[in-house]
Amino acid sequence: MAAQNTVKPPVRGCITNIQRFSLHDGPGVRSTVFFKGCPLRCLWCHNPETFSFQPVLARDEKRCIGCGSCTEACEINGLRLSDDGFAYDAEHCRHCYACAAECPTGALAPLGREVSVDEVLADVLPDRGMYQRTGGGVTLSGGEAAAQPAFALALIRALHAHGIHTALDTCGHVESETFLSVCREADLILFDLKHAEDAEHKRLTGRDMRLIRRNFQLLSWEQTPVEVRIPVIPGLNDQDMVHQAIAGIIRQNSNVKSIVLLGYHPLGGAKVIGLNERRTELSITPPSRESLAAMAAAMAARTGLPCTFR
Amino acid sequence: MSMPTLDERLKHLIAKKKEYTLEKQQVIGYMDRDDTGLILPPAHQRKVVSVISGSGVPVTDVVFSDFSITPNHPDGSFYGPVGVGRNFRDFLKYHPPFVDPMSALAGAYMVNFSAYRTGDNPDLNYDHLKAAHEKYKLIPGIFAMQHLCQDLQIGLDLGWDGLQEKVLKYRALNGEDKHPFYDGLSMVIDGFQSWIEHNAQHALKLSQAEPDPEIAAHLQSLHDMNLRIAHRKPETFMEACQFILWYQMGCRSYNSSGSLGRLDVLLLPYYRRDTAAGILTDEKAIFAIACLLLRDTGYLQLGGYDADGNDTTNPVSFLTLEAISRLRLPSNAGVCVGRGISRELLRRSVEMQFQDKCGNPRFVGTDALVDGLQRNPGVTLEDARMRTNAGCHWLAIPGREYSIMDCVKINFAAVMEIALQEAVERLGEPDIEDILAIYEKHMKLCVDTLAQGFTFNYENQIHNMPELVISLMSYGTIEQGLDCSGGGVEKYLWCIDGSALAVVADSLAAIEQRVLTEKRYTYAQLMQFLKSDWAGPDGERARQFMQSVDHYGKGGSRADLWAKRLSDIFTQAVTAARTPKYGHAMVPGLFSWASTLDLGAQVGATANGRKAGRPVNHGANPNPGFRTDGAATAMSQAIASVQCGYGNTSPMQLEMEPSVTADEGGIEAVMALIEDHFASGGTLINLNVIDADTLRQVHENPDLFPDLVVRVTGFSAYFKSLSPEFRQLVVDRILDKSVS
Repeated sequence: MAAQNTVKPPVRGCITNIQRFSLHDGPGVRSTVFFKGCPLRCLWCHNPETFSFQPVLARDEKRCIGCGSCTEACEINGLRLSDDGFAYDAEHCRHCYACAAECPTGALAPLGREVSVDEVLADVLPDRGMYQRTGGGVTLSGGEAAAQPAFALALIRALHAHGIHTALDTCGHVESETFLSVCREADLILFDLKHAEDAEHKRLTGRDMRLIRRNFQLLSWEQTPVEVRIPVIPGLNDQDMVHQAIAGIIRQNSNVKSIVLLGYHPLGGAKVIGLNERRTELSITPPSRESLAAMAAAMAARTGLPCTFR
Repeated sequence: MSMPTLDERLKHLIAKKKEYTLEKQQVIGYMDRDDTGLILPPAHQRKVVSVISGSGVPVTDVVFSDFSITPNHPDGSFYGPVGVGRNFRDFLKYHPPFVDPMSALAGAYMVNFSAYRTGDNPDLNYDHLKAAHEKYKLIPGIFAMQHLCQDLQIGLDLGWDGLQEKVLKYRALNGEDKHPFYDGLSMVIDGFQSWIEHNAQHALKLSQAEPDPEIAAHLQSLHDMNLRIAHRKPETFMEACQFILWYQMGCRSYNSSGSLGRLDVLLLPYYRRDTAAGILTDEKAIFAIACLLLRDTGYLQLGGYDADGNDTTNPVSFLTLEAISRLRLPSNAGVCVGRGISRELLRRSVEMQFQDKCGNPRFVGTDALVDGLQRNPGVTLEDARMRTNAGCHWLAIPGREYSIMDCVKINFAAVMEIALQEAVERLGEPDIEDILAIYEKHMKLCVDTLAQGFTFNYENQIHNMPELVISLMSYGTIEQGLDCSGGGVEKYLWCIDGSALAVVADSLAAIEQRVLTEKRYTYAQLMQFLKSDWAGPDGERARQFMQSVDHYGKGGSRADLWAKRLSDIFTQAVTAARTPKYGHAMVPGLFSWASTLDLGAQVGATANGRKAGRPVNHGANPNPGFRTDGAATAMSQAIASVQCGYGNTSPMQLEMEPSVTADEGGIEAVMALIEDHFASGGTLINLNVIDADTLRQVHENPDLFPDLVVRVTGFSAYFKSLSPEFRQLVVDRILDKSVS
């Protein structure tokens, strides 16, 4: 039999960013790897450019100097810069990013890049001293990391080989077998619960809760500890009835160790905007610390679990 | 009416300090330097002048309008030990007394004696060095003053009479050529004693006129205490604080010296004795230390190692921290962090930072400094352990080391400007190694020039502005009849700091990527862009391209690699050389003090997209925008990687949002960051905890928060006292790299 080439190409994944010195993505000091692509379309998402699983062209208005180099570079004349603003032909874009290559300031740049596990390690390993000192590690977030299971698993295994704790921040809407295969290898699951009722969940996130609820219940049979994260979006999911129902879901999973309420924070200013994503402008007043404290106390009482808030 | 509580008295003193600061802002204007405890003279005794500060920069200052110096030179000024000693004595004798009845301690100083100097001794010529100074834009530190640390223990053991006896004893033992030095010392002591006694008498007068019996009794006690310590060594905690304060204020006035040394170690025996005797409580101790720090914002160290490696952290360390916390004023305590040093001290310090948001205290990476200093010739492990945080970014072995720390700078960007020009002219299309080889050649020439300057200083400062006040409390100076600037102390470890590291590292990376790899621009085009300061739309476009290359600090970038190479080139050049004739070692660090504006003003456009004359980066810090997440850990790793490693510091300037510690685990995260930076080789951390929104508001209108204190670099100051240009510098740095 002819010799076969058994060397597999390294697994690659699409990520948007790696954030070091993260204090709110699990225990201790962590580095957070933001995966690109998400099955949900939450109305309040600050990063809708992460919805798609491929890189998208993104523009940072603050950094644009209006030189027009991008429009000259585009072979399909798909960009226009005028007094009326910036126009982009998303339908015909070939995603060659010749425009971004000619942007001197980096205002126009692909958002999302393909990386190998080694490339991620190069950025997160330098902080291993910090992880050890604080009980921290690396969190896979996004987007939805479990929606790139091969890359997520390869990354988790590589991190474990270096003795680094891993956490998976997930929305839970991934095919169950795939989902569990990733969860089983992580050290901690940060599971987001945004509502408890299918129709309303679909209205707010684009998906109902069936798969999410199923996966959450399946996790109760696994070994991996779970922290539930509940984004608190005033007017959308902060009603007491909703929290009562979410508490009911939580009580069904004995692996849940703690709960965190995440108060909605509006973005401070202009940021990078994916040019092919539709942005929903929400007018939401952030919840006060007092209301979050009351909600956290109620959730703790209902579940018998420690509940904090931010 | 009766004597208010300690708490009320402190509130009064703090309120008065703020009044004095406001007055200084109105009379002097902007002060881009340390805040100090100086109180302006009464209005009818003031005269505003422009002088060169103890750190070598031009500043506005105030002198006594009716005090004149006695010149001893035809140019109308005064030089040398006798001229300086006599005038300082007369100055202190003249100095108006000051006693605030609410303070535990008498005295305040009103004028910088050094403001009466009009320049350096014109008979001392170093013209042969000036061409190189100008060519490379060196800050050579010739005739720089202080920037070392006395050992206050000498004074505490002898008292002023004891010091005078020592001076006279050794005057009699040494040759006549040394007599001018001894005479200068004697006159300084005489001046101090007169000043203290004058204030004692003033306290008595106030006491006699005071209607409240408790306050009158306190004033009487101030009189009695000061009359005693004008002559005898201090016996109690209060007397020790008072003794230290007089010395420190005199030192500060003499030539801006602000090094207190290990205050917690110095005061510990008095604390133990007095608390055991029931005459001192912790509250009184805190109050006394607060009164001391109100009148001088001296640099002090808390914790650390003694010569045997034991942790020196003690109760006074924590009391001093508490005093600083209650004051919420500019102050300059450096807390030691190390494997063998109390973690509770670190914890309390981090808590204070986030609770008070005054940039206090700073953090000293003791282990890396101890390891590094021993690499210098003649430095033992014990020496290295005894080195003490004593200034903006620097340390000194109290009483035993002379270095003019922080006074000598090489502007890497100025050297690279020359090297790049030469490389392109000679080679046409040099690669980075070609450029670095030429850069290294010029770096060695810079070091050689500075080394000659150190020898010049060593031989000539005695004839210019000798360190009479610090020499009084140094080892070997009185014994040998030699000033500490010129042979009197045991160790000469001349400090050379490098600046603009990030500018040059990012420039090399930009050249490598845009010129050599992408061939987007030729060298001819690049040099034209630099010469024209990026003029025109093509120039601006090019500038943006060069600026958008991955920066030093990103982690794993080419600029990170070049930063390490640049640090290595500098370190090797400095440590391989010795000063001529005396063979002293020189020790490298990376620091720009408050000179990022001035250093930048000397350099044209640079290949990293920086425009001509714009400020350079702060010390070893990366340029703003080095990473999208601005992660503190990334900056920490980057700065740790470029440490020179010979016992001088390359500080990390770190800014954090208050929200970092809002949640559980936040304090521990910051402690871990500090410890990790030091474990990776870091040496010093200056930290600001400040809300970005507050900073934006106060930058628009400083009067909104007149009490806002920021750690500018190594020193802290009122934000409102800084010039608009300086505020912009601080704001840009904080807003671009604030961790949240």
